[in-house]
Amino acid sequence: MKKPTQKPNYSMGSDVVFLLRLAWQEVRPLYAWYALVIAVQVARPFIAMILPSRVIWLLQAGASFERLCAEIFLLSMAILLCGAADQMADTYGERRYLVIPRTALSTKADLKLVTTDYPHGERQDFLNLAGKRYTAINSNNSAGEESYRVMRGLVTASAGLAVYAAVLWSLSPWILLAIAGLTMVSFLGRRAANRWVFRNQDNWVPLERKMNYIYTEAGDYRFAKDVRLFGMSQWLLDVYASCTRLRTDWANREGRVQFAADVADGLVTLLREGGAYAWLLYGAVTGAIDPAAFVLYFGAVGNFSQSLMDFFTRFATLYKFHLQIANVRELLDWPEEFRREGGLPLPDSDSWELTLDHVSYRYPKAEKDTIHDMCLTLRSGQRAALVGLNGAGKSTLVKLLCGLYDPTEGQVLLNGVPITQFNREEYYSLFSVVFQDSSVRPYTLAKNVALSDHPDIERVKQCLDLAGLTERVAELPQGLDTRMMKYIWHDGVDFSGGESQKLMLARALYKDGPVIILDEPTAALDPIAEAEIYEKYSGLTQGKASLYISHRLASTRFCDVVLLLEDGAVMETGTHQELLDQRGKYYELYETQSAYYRKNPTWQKGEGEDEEEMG
Amino acid sequence: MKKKWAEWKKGAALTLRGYRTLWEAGMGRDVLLTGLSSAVAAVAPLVTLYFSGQIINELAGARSPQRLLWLAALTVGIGLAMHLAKNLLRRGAEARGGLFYVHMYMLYSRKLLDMDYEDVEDARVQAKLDKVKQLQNWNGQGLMRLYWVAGELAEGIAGTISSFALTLGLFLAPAKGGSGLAAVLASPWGTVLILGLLALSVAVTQRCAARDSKLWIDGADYMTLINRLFVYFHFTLPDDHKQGKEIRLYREAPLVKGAIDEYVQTWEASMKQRAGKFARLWGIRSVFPCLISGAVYLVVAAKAWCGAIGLGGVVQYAGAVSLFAASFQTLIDVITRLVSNNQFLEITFDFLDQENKKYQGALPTEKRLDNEYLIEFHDVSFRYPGSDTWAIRHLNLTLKIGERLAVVGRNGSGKTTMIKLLCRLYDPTEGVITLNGIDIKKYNYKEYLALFSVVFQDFHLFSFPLGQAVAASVKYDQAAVEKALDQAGLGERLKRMPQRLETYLNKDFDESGVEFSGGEAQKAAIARALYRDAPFLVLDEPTAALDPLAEYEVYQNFGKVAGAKTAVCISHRLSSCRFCDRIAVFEKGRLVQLGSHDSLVAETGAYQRLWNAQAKYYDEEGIVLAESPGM
Repeated sequence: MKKPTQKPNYSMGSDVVFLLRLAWQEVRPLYAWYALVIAVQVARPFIAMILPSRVIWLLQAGASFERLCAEIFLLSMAILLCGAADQMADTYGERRYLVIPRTALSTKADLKLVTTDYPHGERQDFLNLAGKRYTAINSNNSAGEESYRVMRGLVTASAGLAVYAAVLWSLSPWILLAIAGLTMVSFLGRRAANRWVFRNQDNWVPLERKMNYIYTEAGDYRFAKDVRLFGMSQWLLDVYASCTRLRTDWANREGRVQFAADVADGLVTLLREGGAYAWLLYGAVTGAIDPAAFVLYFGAVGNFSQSLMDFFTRFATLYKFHLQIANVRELLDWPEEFRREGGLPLPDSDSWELTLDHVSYRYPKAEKDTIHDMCLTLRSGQRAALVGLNGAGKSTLVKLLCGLYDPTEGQVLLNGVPITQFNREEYYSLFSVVFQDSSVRPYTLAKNVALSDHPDIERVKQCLDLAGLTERVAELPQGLDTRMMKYIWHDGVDFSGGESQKLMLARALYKDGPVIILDEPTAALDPIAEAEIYEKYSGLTQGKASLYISHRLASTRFCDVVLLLEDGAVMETGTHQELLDQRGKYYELYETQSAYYRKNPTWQKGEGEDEEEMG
Repeated sequence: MKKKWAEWKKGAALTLRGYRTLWEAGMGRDVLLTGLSSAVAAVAPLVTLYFSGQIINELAGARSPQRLLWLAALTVGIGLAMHLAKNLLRRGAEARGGLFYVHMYMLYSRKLLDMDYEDVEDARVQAKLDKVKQLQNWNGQGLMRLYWVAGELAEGIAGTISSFALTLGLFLAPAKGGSGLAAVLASPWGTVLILGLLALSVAVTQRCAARDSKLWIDGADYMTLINRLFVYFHFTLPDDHKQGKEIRLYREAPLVKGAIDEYVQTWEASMKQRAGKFARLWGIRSVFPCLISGAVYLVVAAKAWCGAIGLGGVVQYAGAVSLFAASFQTLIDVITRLVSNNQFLEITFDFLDQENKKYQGALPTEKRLDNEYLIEFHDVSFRYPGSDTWAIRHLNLTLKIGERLAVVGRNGSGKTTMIKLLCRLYDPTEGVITLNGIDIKKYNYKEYLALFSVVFQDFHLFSFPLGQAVAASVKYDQAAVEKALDQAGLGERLKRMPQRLETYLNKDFDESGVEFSGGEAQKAAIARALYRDAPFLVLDEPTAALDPLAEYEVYQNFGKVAGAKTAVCISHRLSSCRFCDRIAVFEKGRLVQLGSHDSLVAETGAYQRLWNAQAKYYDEEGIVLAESPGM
C-alpha cells in the first residue's frame, strides 16, 4: 500500500493547546497535581546526585560526625518527601482524572459519527479517518491519555536539562556539547530503527489482522455449529499457524534492526562514559577535581544525558500522538452538507405529501444509478407496498425518502417544498421506520421503545401491546425497567429474533410519525405471528402515509397501491388486482410465490423439468 | 500456621501451572527471555557501582593513572557487554512477545474449538470465558499477569541476590574505633538497625500490595462493566453504520450522550472514592526504600568516619544497599501480586479445565455408496442444560432413506433443537436416536458428523478465499468446489469474479474481496454443504432473506441437489412443504402431525392453521381484507 504522506491540518502546537484546553475543561485540578509531580521529579534526582558527593566531601574534609549525620538526614528526608509526594500526586492524578479527557474526546467523536450526514459513513476516506480514532482513544496508552503523561515528562526533562547543563557548564561548556552531540547520535539511531518499523509495518499489520480475525471468529459461540459440522477447526488452525510463522519472521527481522540501534546506542554510551571518565580522571589526577567533585560531575553527566534522551524520546512520542489527535480533530471538523440550523419550519399540517421528483441516486464510485429518474408520491392516508427483487434499490429508496441520502439528481419534496429547505433533524421527526437491521440497545426496555431519556410509560405499554409483546414483558422480573442486552448487563435480557422484531415495531409506533415505513418486519416471524401483524396493519397506519416493504407478496393485499421496483425505477404501479391484470413482472412474482399455496398448483413436483415455466 | 503453609503451597502450584500452561502453548520462550533480559538489567548497575567504588578509592589513595585507566576501561567495557546482552535477550523475546495478546486469546479460542458443543452454547460457560477475557482486558489479570510480571520477578530475584552480595563487605568490615553515635552506628547495631527497617519494609510493602490488589479486585466486576460500556458506546455503536439510520431518524444522539454521561459519572464517582486510597498506599510504600537508604548512608558514613571502609566503599555500599531495598521491594510486590492473581488463575483454569463429557463412541460409520442410512428417533426428550422446560418431548420419528422431510411450527416449537439432536450437537435427555439400528452415541463422533451437510439459519462464511470457504480447508479439490458452486446457483457469479476461487469473501483482508448479497451468501453456504457430499442434507430457513424468484430457484435446486440424499428442510414459508414427501409439524416441543401436505392440509389441526394463516393471502377467493380508506 502506497500512501502519500499527508500533512495534517493542525500543527503540533495547536494539538498541544487543544489537549491542554480539553484537560482544563474536564479535569482542572490535574494541573495542580502535575505541577507538584514535575517539581519533585526534577528535585529528587538532583538531591540524590548531591548526596554521595556531599558525604565524601564531608568525610574528606574531616567534618564532625554530627554535621555528617545532620546533612545525611536532611538530604535523605528531602529525597523521601519528594519520592512520597511524587508517588501520591502521580497515583492520584492517574486514578482520579487521567481517563476523563480521553473519554471526553471519544464522546465528541461518537456524537459526530452518529449525527454526521449519513452518506459519510459510506465514504472510504471518512471511514479511514473514523478508524484511525481507535489508536487515539482505545487504551490507557493511547494518545488521548498518554499525551498528558508525555507532556508532563517533557516538562520534567526540560527542567532537568537546564539544571544539569548548568552544573556541567560550570565544569566546561565543551563537555556539555560533546555529550549532547553523542546523545543525539544515539537518538538518531533509534529513530532510524523506528522508521524502519513504520515503513515495513504494512507487511505484518495484515497478518496480525488475520490472526485477530481467527481468534475472534473461533471464539465466537454463534459460529461453533458451522465449525463443528464442517470440521473447520483444522482449517482455522492451519491458517493461524501460517500467519504466525510469517509474523514471527518479520518480528525477528524487526528484532535485528532494533538490536542494531541498541549496538549503536551501546557504542555511544561507551564513548560518552569513556570520555567522561577520561576527562574527569585527568582532572582528578592533575588535582583539579577532588573525589567528591568527581562523584558529583559523573552523576551530572549521567543525569544530563538521561534528561536529553528523555526529552528526545518524549518529543518524538508527542509528535506521533499529535498526528493521531489531529486525525480526531479532522474527523470532528468533517464538513456537513445537510442543513442543521435555520431553514423553513416544517409545514403545520395534518396532511402530508412526500414526492420524489425525477430522483436519481448513484453511490460514490458506482458505475450506474441505483435509483434512476424516479417519480413517486406518498400521501397521508395512503398505504403503499414496495416490492422488487433483492438489489432492486428498495432500501436506497427508503433512505432517500427519509432524508438519509440526498439525491444525486432531482429532488425530494415535502408538501411541495424541497426537503433541503428544512432543518434535516426536524425533517427526521416525520418518520417512524422499522429497518431490517434495527436492533436493541443496552438501555432499559422502556427507553428502548421510546428512545428518549424520559419515556411516557403509559404509551410505552400501549405500543408494546400493539406489537404483541405484553405477555413477554409480563415475564420480565423488572418489567419495563429491565435492562436489555445480557452481554453488557449481566442481569439484562436478550430477546429472540421474532421478539426483537416486535420491539422495533413498538419503537416505530411510539414515535408516531406521520410517515410509517416497515422494511421486512415479519421475516423472522412464524406464519401465525406474521398474520397477526397483517391483521393489525390497517389499524396501526390509520391516517398515516405508509410504505410496506416485503418479499411476502401477501402483504400487498392490504395496501392501496403497489409499487414494483426494478433496476432503480418504478416499473409498475397500481392496486394488487390492477397489477395482476397487467400480467407483467408483478404478476410473475406473485404467481411464482402463490403457486405453492394454491390447491391445484400449476407447478408439479419434480426435479428440474419445470424450469421453462419461469421463462 | 499449617493452614497458611498449605495455602501458600496451593498458590505456588497454581502459579507454576500457569507458567507451564504458557510454556505448553508455545509462549514460554518469550517469558524466559523477558525474564533473563530483566535479570541482566538488574545486575548491570551493580557492576558500575562496584567499579565506581574502586575508582574513588584509587582517587582517594594512590592515584595511579594506569590503574585508573584500567578501571575506567573495565567499567565502560563491562557496561557495554551487559547492555548488549540485555538487549539481545529482550529483542529475542519481543520478536514474539508482541503477539502475546493474540496467542493468549487464541489459547481460549482453541479451547472453544475443542469443547463439546453443548458446553459452548451453555450460557454459564460463555459467562466464564467472558469473565476471563474481561479480567485480562481490563487489568491484565490471569495468565496475562504471569507474562507481565515475568520481567519484574526476574529483576527482583537477580537484583536482590546480587545487591546483597555486593553489600556483604559493609557488614563484615570491622569497626576500628571512633566513639559516640558513630561507633554505635558502625557497630553491629547499625546492621541491626538496617535489618529492622528492612523487616518493617517487608511487612508494610506486603500489606500495601495486598491492599492495592484488594482495591483492584473489589472493583473488578464494576470495572469490567465499565469496559463493556466503553467499548459499546465508543466503538461498537458509532461504528455500526447500519444502526446509524435509526439513530438519526429517531434522534437518538441525546440518549446516547446521556447513556455515556451516566456511565462516566458513576465511573468518576468511583474514581473519586478510590483514588485517595490508591495514592495513600503508593505514598506509604515509597517511603521505605528511602528510609533504608537514609539509614544505610548513616551506617556507611559512620563506618567510613571510623575508618572501617574507604571513600569508594561509601559510594559502593550506599548504592548497593539502596538497590537492595528497591529490588527487594519489587520482589515482595511481585509475589503479592502473583498471590492475588491466583484467584483469577482459578477462574481461567476453571474455564480451560471444562471437561468434554460427551460420550465418544469408537464405532466407525459404514461407508455406503447407496446412502442407505436410516435414522430413527425413539421416544426422544430433551431439555437444555440448566433449563427445566422440555424443548423436545417424546419424539418418535423415522427419517426414511432418500425422503424429503419438511419441519414446520411456530417460533420456539423445537424445530432447530431437533436438528441439533440429529447432528449430535446435543445428546437427548431421554430416549435414543439410532443410525441403522445402533445408538448414534456409539459411532465415532467425527465420522458421524461427516454424514451431515447442514445449512443453518445463522450460517457463517469466514472471510477467506471462496474456494477455501466452500471446502472449509486450506487445500481443496478445485473441480469439486466449482461443481458445488454451480449446483448451488453461483456458477455464473463465479465466472464474473476475476480471481475465481482465490477471491476473498468480504473486504476484511482484501480490498478487492467480494461482498455477497444475502441471497448469494445463502447459496455459497449451500455450496459448502454440497461440497461435503454427505448423505444427509439439512436446510434451516434457507430462503428467509430471498425475494420470490430467488426463493423459487432455491426450491427448484433443492430437488436437484438433494438427489438421492435424505433431506430435511425447516421453513416458515410453508410453500417449501410442497416440495417435500412428508411434513413434521411441531408444537411446543411435540411432534403433533406427520404426513403429506395433501393429507395434513385437509385435517383440522396445527398444520392447517399455519397453512391458512399464510395461504389465505394468496388465494384469490380468500378472505376479505380489512376496510382501507380510499386514496
